[in-house]
Amino acid sequence: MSSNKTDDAVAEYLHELELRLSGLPVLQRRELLAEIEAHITNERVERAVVSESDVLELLERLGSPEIVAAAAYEEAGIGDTRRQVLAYAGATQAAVRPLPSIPPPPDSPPPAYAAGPFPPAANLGQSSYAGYSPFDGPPPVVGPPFAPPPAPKQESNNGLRVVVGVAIAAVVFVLLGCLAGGFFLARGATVDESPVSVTAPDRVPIERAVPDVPERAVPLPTAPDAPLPTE
Amino acid sequence: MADVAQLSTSLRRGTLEFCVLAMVEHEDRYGTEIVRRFGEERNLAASEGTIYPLLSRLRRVGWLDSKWSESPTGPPRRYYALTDAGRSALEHFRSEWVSFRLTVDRLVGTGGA
Repeated sequence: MSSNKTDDAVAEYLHELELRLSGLPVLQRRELLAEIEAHITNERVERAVVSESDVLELLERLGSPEIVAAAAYEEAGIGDTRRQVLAYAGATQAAVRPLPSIPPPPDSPPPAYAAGPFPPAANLGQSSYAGYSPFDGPPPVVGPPFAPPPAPKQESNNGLRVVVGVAIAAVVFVLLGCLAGGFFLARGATVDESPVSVTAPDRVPIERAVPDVPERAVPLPTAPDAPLPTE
Repeated sequence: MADVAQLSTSLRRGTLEFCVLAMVEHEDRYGTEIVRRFGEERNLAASEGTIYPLLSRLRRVGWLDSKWSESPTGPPRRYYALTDAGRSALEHFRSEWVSFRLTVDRLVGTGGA
């Protein structure tokens, strides 16, 4: 029973460590994992570390996977990747979180280690947490980047619509001019009827597109310019 | 508390690796052996698992060499040995450390003289 539990604890520890080391070059990662695993095996065999509390204490002395991984990235001279990996590990950590329960070994109070190694260990752990805590954001942050692209597309579409509308308007005016000229030549009185019926539907899109742009630009100069010179 | 921990971390940085080099100066040792030795030193106490990345780096920079050897009890052991480059680095540190220590002692008032 207890051997299964301790094996599970060791396997979990190594798994957590491997997750956090995924940013290391493969050979360095394999080397470190093999060394840590050999260390655990050596201690269990040569120092008769059998009970669950002893194994947990052994893992505690090794340091949490976060601390060991942080040291590995520092020694490897990998800074940015480490943050990314820790961020990734932080995400997975939510799902696989049983390890943190290891730190308090209830059965065997280790005063010898509590005095020395653990304060810096805790400090390191905090710093690594602080390192990737801002990276827990990305999932929500990922949303906004997708929002902007549609906006410019709409703007470009609007721009196209304006251009097309203006082009249509120009064509319509030319046609109107031709029609009007023709009607003026033929009759003088009936000119108004046909142009109105033709332009009414086509000017609707023009009025939507054109006013938006000029209305903003025009009022600004006219408003300040008018009062200043007069007064 | 955090400052105290930070101090020991800072003091360890830059010196721990030469303690490792000195540890294998006269005799090849395997990883767990080195880690156990550090575990006995309260002032140097760090999370034991962080020694292995350090050993890895010292090997990559050529100050340590390693070779595998079968173990009578457990998994194969990786024995670390000091290289010529590591030996000269250790000697350089020794001379630097003595003058460094004397200067700090004089400025901080810990010389005792």
